[in-house]
Amino acid sequence: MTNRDFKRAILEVRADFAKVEMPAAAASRVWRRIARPAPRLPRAQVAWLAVAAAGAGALAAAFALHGHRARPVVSLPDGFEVVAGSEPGGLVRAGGAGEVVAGGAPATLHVRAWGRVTLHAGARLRRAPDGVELVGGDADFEVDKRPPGAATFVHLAGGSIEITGTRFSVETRLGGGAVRLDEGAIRFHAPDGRTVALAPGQVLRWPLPAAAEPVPPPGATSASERRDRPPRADPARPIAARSVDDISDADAVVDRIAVLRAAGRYGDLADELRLAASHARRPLTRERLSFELGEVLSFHLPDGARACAHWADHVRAFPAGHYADEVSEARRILGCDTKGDGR
Amino acid sequence: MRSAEEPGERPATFEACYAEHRDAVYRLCLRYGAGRASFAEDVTQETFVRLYQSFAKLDRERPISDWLYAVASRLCISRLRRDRSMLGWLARLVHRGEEPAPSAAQLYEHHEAAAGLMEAIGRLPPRQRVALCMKAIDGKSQKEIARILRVSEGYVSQLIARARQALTDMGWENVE
Repeated sequence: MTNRDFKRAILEVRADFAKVEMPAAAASRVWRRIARPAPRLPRAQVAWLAVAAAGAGALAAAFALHGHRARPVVSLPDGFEVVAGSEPGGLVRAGGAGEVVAGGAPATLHVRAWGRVTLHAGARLRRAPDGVELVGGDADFEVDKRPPGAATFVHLAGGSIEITGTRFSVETRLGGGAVRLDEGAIRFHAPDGRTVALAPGQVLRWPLPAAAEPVPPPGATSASERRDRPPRADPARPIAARSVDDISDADAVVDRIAVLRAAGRYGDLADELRLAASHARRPLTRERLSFELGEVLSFHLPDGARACAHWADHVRAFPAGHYADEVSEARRILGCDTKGDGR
Repeated sequence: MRSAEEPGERPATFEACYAEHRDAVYRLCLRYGAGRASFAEDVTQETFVRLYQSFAKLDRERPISDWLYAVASRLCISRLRRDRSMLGWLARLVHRGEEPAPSAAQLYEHHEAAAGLMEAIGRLPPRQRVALCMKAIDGKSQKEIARILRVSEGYVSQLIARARQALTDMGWENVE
C-alpha cells in the first residue's frame, strides 16, 4: 500500500479524530459568547457586515445629498416604535406573530400607551391584551404610571409580572429567569398560583423553589402550631443574603449565578460565589461553589494570579475533589505551576 | 458523532447539552474544515447558538446528537461556500494571523496518509467534501446524507461519485 491509499488514510483519519477534544480555552470562549446577550459573530459574518455597513453608509450619504428626509429603517408591528437616540433602529426587526426582535445590540422601543422597553440582543417582545409578552431574552422595562386598579402585565414563559407603574429588568433563560425591581412595585405570578410581591432593590428568580411543605387547608392546624413553624425562606431575597443551608443543594445558587454570568457581571458573580461558599455547610456544596469561583477567576476576570492562588487553596481543601481534572486543566492553561502559585 | 443518547434522555439543560456534545460537534467541524481550528470553533459556536434558540421546541424523543449532526453539517457547507467567495477571502485577510490554526500536516503529525487525504478533501467543493466525509469517515448511508443535507439521494450519489473521481484524479488509490 502507498501513502495515497484512500482506505488506509480513512482509517488513520478516523483514529486521529477519535482522540480530538475541543481545547478547553476554545470551549470556554464559545460558551462565553453563547451565554452573553450578544454572541460574537463568526469571522466571515464580520466581513459581510463590514461590506453591508459600507453599503448602508453610501446609501445614507446619497440620501443626505439629495435632501431626502430620513425614513424609518424598519417597519415594526403596530404600537412599537424605536426611540430616537437609542441604538441603531436597523438592529431591530419585526418577527413572526407580531413580535419585535432585537438584533446584535440593545435597542429601546416605545410601546404605545404602555411604556418603554430596552430589548437586549436577541430579545423578542410582542403586545398582549393586558400588556406585553417577553417571548425570550433580556429586557429592561419602564412602565408608565397607571391609575389605581389598572394593573398591566409582562407575560413570560414561566409566569407573569403584574405592574402598577415601575422600572424593572427581566432576564429570561431556558426554563427560568430573574426579575430585578428598581422602582415601584410588582407582583410575580407563578403558573402554580403562587404570588410574590417585590420591593425596590429585590431580585426574584423563577421557577420558584418548591414549597417546603404542602399548604394545609384552612383550619387543619392551630394558630399556635403555625406560629411554631420556622418561617419559609423568602424567594424574593437575593440568594447571597440567605444561607445556602436554606436550600437543598447548590443548584439553586448556581442558577442565580447563571443570571449574573449571562449578564457579564463577573465581579459580582465572584463576590456572590465567595459569599455563598462561606455560608455553605456541606462539603460538596462548598466544593462546587469553590470550583465555580475558580472558573470565573480563571476565564472571565483578567486576574491569573488570583485564580492560581484560588486553585491552590481549592486543591488543598479538596485534595481528591470531583473536579480534579478540570482544575488541573485550568491551572495548566493559566501556567500556575510555572508562576510558582502551586503552593 | 456518537449517538449514545437514548430517546428521551436528553440532558435537561442547555449547559449540560453543551458540555456533553461540544467535543463531537467540534470534531465534526474540524473534519469538514480540513483541520482548521478557527473554522471548527466558529461553526461549533453557531451550531450551539441554533440549539439555544431551538432548545425548548426540540422533540425530546429524538437524540439531540442527530439534530446537532445535521445542523452542524449544513452550517459547515454554508460556511465553506462563504469562505470560497470573495467575502470569505476578505474575512481571511482581515483575520490573518489572529489565530494559529494548525495545518492538516500538524494535526496528523504521525499519519502522513491521513494528512494528505484531508488536504486533498479540503480542495473539493463544499458539498462534495461534506458528503464524502459523511459517507467515508462517518459511515452514513446515502439515504441519511440526503435527509441531513435536504437533497435527493440521486444528488448525493452524484456528489460522492464526483468527489471520488476528483480524488482519483489527484492520484488517490482504492477510492471506493
